[in-house]
Amino acid sequence: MNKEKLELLAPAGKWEVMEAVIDAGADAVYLGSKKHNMRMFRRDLNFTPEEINAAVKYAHGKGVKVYITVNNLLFDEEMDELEPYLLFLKKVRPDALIVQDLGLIKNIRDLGINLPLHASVMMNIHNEPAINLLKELGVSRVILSREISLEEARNLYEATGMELEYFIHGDMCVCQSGQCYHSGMVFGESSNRGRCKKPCRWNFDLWDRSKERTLNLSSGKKHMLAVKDMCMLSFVPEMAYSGICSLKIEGRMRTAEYLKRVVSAYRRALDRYYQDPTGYTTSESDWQELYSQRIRDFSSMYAFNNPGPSSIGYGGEREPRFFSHAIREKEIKEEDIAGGIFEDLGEGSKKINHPLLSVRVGNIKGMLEAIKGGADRVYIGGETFISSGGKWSLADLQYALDYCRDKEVEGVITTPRITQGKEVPRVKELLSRAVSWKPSGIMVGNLGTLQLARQLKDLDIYGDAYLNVINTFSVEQLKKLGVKELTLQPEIYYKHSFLLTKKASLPFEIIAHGPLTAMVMDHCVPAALLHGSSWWEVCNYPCREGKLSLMDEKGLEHPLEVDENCRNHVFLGREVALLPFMKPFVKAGIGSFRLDLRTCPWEIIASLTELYRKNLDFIKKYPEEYWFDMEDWRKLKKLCPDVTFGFGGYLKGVKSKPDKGEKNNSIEYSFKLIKSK
Amino acid sequence: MAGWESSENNLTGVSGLVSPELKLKKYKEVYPRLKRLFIIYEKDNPNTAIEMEYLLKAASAKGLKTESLKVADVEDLLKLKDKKYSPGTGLFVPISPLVEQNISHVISAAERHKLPLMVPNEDAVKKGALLGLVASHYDLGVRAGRMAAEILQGRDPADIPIEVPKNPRLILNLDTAGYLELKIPGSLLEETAATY
Repeated sequence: MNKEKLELLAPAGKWEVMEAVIDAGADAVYLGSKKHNMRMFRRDLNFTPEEINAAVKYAHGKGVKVYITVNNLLFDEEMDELEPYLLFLKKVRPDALIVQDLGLIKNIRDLGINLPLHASVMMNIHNEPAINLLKELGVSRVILSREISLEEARNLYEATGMELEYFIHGDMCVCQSGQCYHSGMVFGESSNRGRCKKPCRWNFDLWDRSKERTLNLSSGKKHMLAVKDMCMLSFVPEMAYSGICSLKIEGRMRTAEYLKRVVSAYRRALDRYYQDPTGYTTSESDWQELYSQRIRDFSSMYAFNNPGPSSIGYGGEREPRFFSHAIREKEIKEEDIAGGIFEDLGEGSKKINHPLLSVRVGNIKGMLEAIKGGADRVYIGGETFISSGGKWSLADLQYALDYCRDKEVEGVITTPRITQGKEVPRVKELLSRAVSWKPSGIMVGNLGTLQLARQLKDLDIYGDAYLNVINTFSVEQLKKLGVKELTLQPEIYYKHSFLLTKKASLPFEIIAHGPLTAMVMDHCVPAALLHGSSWWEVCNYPCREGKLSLMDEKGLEHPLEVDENCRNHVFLGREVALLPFMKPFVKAGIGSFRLDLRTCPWEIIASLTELYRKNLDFIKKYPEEYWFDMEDWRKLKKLCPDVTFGFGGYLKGVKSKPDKGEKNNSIEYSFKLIKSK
Repeated sequence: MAGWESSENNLTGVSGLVSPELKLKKYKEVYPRLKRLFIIYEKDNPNTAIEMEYLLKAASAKGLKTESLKVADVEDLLKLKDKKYSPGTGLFVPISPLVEQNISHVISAAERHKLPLMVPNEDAVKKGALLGLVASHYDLGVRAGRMAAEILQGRDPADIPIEVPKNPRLILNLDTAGYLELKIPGSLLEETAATY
């Protein structure tokens, strides 16, 4: 067990805040520059290089450590701009850099900067192999995923010896860290780049789409994803015993007054605990002080278990501000198709002559149909959705791979996007067996499963979209780690993706069709609302009694699917369908087009796959003469009468900066438009 | 009823009885080692008796030896657990409501002795039996409805042949197949209406 005293780590959005939290007793502060960091909502916040230099000196003079947040996902052009700043930081010598981007880790080391690196919470680190992989890459501390309990943290520390940091107070996310694409896809403002417009705070109705009715919930239960704020003041002994080394307070946009109170309360609690560990009790006055100035109500979130409904502020009355309201996601119209809405940017240097058609399916029946429809590759395994009849057992996978081999189709085994706790040994078991089944490859969605897949010999590794690769530095990093192909991140504007595809040394796949996951959550909405439980308690599985959606204020249904591990996946209101737009993507060098048909009834999978097959073959054979037959679009719509199609994040998605003449979509601008509640 | 072609009275309709001959053909395709059928059926059930008559004939025609357990109550099913089975045995449950309602005893005996089990309904396959060749109740309903329409238009029921299930649905439990270490050819997979 870690015998060091717990570090109290406080945020600082500006100089006066830094002074205040240091006065209040912080052992370390974290802060960032006005660029390349997550909290860039307001121009008056964050530090200039001169201020950073002075801040490090000031804090060190007080015996306080300084961690600099360089914790954005970065496009290539931003990575280039970053170099002088990184070299400046090398001279300033803060105590660590907090990073999210895998490519940045490589870049920092390539520049000969040997500052300690802390893996941001946005890297979504939630298992032992991922920590081991980061250790290999030179990371010295991991800020754990917010879904990790103190007990799991202790196990992770004992297994890896890694320094572990843990959020203990403040604003939280309902979605798994670094895995929320809702704001990015809908508003072009990425949660992974510090610009989240918080669609999780919207109000929703729970809609049963199989019976076409709103489910009656207790009145006021509208803000069903609005998590409360975290507060761990009452649990100092538990944290001291947990193997974590640093207690992190959220809030780089908070005021000095607010943070001073929070830091002081935790400082007093820690000091009292270390003076008398056995006789420690929570101070009523400290608790009252925090409680009286709380923003939302408090929860210990995942520290002890999945908190279920107790972590949600259903009424929304304590939400300090709504950053956005529901909008109608753009639907694909025939005029968009006729007008060629995706610009043809010409061929890249890396021309892929034969882009593949791959299909992800939820069960063996779906796989048979996808192959019948002409898939070159099928993704089998990974998480499936209960209400869509998903199932992949070890036997299913084995029979499926036999079938793929007979039909000379690539069979790639997928692994779950989140692999936490008891799910890790299951994936280990799967991979150990998979070696003898000789699949065409393994697809990984998190760094832990990547690390496990790397241990296997002679198996190609495919990286899923959830690795958040948006620059060539990350591509090179992952290539070095053994990845053979990557997937474009679905919240990124297509022109950026085209640039990446053209420059990258690995081929990219694009999710071309299907529902796009906006959020993946450990919070189970149906269990919480319809049964009042969380997934760790006995549950009567209300998720299995129908097909549920969250209906937003604009009446758009966001399908909600529950996977076999009870994780909830909330989708965009419209499914993406690039069927009419494949030509510019082929020309940009996309290596393969993925149809995600896990929620699709098996009866239409072959016909739907055939439509893509036909168009892809036409483009490949007659690239110049190809034109899209509108009849194919009508056929697609007829096949899927209950679905409306949109552009995902490819059209309105995340850009490094707005195009010339484009409407300002910044948070500051949004503030002006949206009334504070 | 006088026969399948005509009841020679005012009755007609569709039967849910999938031909035992077809069932055994499919059983053999899924489980080529099948040499002996161990039939578990309900005593004194008229529907069971009809299927048993056809089943025994079909088994004999295919050269399969048969043995059976006549079930009068649930206690009888407990005997399956400790019984000794010869190599090449496959368990078979014909339409037998009493056995179907207590199918978990049969499934656990099959699992314990690593034996294949063919059942008359999809739910039992979902629970762990190896396979079923079952009627589509949707299809039966549609066809019965069409017959009713014809009768309402004046046709004599005696002139309408009694129909049996067309294209019965093959249901496979792949986890059980894996447990039995069976090879499932692609053509059989393609034929399945559902897998569990």
